[in-house]
Amino acid sequence: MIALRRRALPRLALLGGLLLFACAVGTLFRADVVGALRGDALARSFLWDIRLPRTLIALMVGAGLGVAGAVLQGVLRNDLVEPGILGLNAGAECAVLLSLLLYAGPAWAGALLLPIIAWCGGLAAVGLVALLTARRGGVRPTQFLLAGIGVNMLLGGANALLGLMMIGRVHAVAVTWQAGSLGAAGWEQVAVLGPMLALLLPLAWWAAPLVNVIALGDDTASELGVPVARRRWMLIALAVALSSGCVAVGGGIAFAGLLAPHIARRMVGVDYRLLLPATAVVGAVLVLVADVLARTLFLPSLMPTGVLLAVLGVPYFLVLLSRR
Amino acid sequence: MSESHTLRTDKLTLGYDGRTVVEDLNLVVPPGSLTALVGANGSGKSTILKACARLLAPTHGAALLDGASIHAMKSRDVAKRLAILPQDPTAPAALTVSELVSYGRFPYRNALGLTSGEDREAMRAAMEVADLHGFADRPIGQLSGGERQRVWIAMTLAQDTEYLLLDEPTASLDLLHQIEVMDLLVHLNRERGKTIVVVLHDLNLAARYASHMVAIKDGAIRHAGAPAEVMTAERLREVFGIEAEIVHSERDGAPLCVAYRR
Repeated sequence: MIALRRRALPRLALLGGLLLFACAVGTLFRADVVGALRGDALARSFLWDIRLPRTLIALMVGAGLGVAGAVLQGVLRNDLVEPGILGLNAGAECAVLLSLLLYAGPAWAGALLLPIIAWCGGLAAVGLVALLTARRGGVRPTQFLLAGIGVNMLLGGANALLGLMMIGRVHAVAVTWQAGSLGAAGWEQVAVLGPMLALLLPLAWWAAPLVNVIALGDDTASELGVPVARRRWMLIALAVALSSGCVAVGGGIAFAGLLAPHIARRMVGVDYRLLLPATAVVGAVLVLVADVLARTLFLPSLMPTGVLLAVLGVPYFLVLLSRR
Repeated sequence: MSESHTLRTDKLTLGYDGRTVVEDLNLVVPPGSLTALVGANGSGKSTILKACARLLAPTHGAALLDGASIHAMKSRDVAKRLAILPQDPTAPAALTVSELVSYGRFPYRNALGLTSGEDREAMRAAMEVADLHGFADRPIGQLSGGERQRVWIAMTLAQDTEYLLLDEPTASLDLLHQIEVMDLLVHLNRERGKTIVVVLHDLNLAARYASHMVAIKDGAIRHAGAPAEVMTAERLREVFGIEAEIVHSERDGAPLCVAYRR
C-alpha cells in the first residue's frame, strides 16, 4: 500500500485492541460467565442466544454505517453527508410507522417483518431521490444532496403525522425504532446482515482508490481515467446497500455514519485505503459501546442505543472538532 | 502525414448548454513542443484544452490522439498517455503530498490495487523532478501556493504520460513561483521529451518559455507559430484589443509586450 503513514500504524493497532476489548466487554459484561462455563443451560443460552448475536449486530451495524458514510462523503465530496441524508432513515421509518398502523397480524410475525419493511421503505426513498436527480451525464453531488434533504423533509412531515395517529404500545414501538435500538437483535438478523457485510465491506475497501480519486473532483478523476458519472452511481449504490440493511436492523442510529468517518479521519488521515478499515472499526466500537451502556446504565429500564450514541458520541465528536 | 505522436483537433465544435463556444477548430500541437494557448478571458482556450483531454465532449468533430478520437478511446488508456492539470484543482487539506502523488498512478492500478515497484519508482521520480524532497508526509493544506502547484504537477508526472496539458498553472502565483513552474515545464519538455500544452494569461511568460504559440479569439485560432511571429503589435491589437509596444529582451531576445492603451 502506497504512502501508508507510519504514525497511523500504532493507531490502527490501538483500534484493533479496542475492538477486541469492546467485544469481550460487550458479550461478557453482566453475564454469568462462570455459570455458562460450568454448564448452566440458562446462563449458556443467555450468552449464546442473546448476548453474542447482539454484540455481533452492534459491530456490524456500526461498521456498515460508518463505511457507507465515509464512501458517501467521498463521492459526494461533502463531509456533512451521512447515509440518512439520502432519505434512507426517513423512508424506513415511514414504512415502519405505516405498517405499525395498518398491521393486524400476530405480533411475532410483525417483529420478523419489521426489518424487511424498513429495508423496503429505505430503498424506496433513496430510489425516489435517485429518480429525481438522475441525468444522462450522471448526478451532480449538490443536486443529489438537495433532493435527499427535500425527500427527508417530506417524509419527516409524513412521519410526524403518522406518529400523531398512533396510540399507546404501538407508539412506544415506533419511538424506540426511531431512536435506534438493537433490542431485537438475534441470530436471524446476524444471518442476514453478516453475509451482506462480508461481501460489501471488502468490496468497499477494494474501491477505496476510486473514492480517493473521485474525492479530488470530477475533472481530476476523469483526467485519471475514471468514468466519473457511472462510478459515482455505483459507489452510491454500494453505500446504500451497506447502510440499508444496517438501518433496517438497527433503526435510527444512522448518524454513526457521520461520526465514525470523522473520528477515523482524525486518526489515520483522508486516504480511503486506510480510512475505510479505520472507519469500520471506529463505527463498530462506537455502536457496541453505546449499546452496552444503553442496556446497563439505566437498569431496569433500557435505553435505545441511538440515544446513548447521541448523548455520548456527539459531545466527543464536538470536542474533537473544536480541538482542531 | 504520419499520425503517430500527434495531438490535434479535427473540426472540433464545443458548447455549453446549446451555446456554441468553439466551432470547427483545427488545432495542431507540434510533437515535442511546448505550446502556449493565449487569448482573452472567455476566448475558449480553457474549453479547448479540456476537450483535448476529453474532460468535455465535443458537439461535433473530435480531438485526435495519434489520429484516433480521444472520446472513443478507453478512458484508462488515454490517462496513461495524456495528463491534464485543471485550473485550481482541489484536494482534502489533510491529504499528504505522497498520498496525492500516488493517486497519479491510478490508471496503472492492478486488480488487487497493490503498489508495484514501477509505481514506487514513478512516484519517486515525479517527486524528485518537482523538487518535493522532504515533503512526502506534509499535508497539502499546509503548503504554499507554489509548493501545492508543484505537488499537483508531480501527481500528473507520476501518471507517466507523453502529453501534459495545464490550465493556467501560474495563476495566483508570485513571480518567483511562476518562473519556478515554467522552468519545470521547460525541463520536462526538453529533457524528458514531453509534449506540453499550457494555457497562459501572461503573454510575456508565454513568449519567453513556449516554443509554439497559439492565439485564440472567439473560439477560433487567429495566429499560430513561434512567439516572435505571434507577438506583434498588430496581432495583439486584433486578438486582445490592446495597443502594445513590443520590445525584445536583452537577455534572450524573447519578445516582451508592454501594453499602454485599450
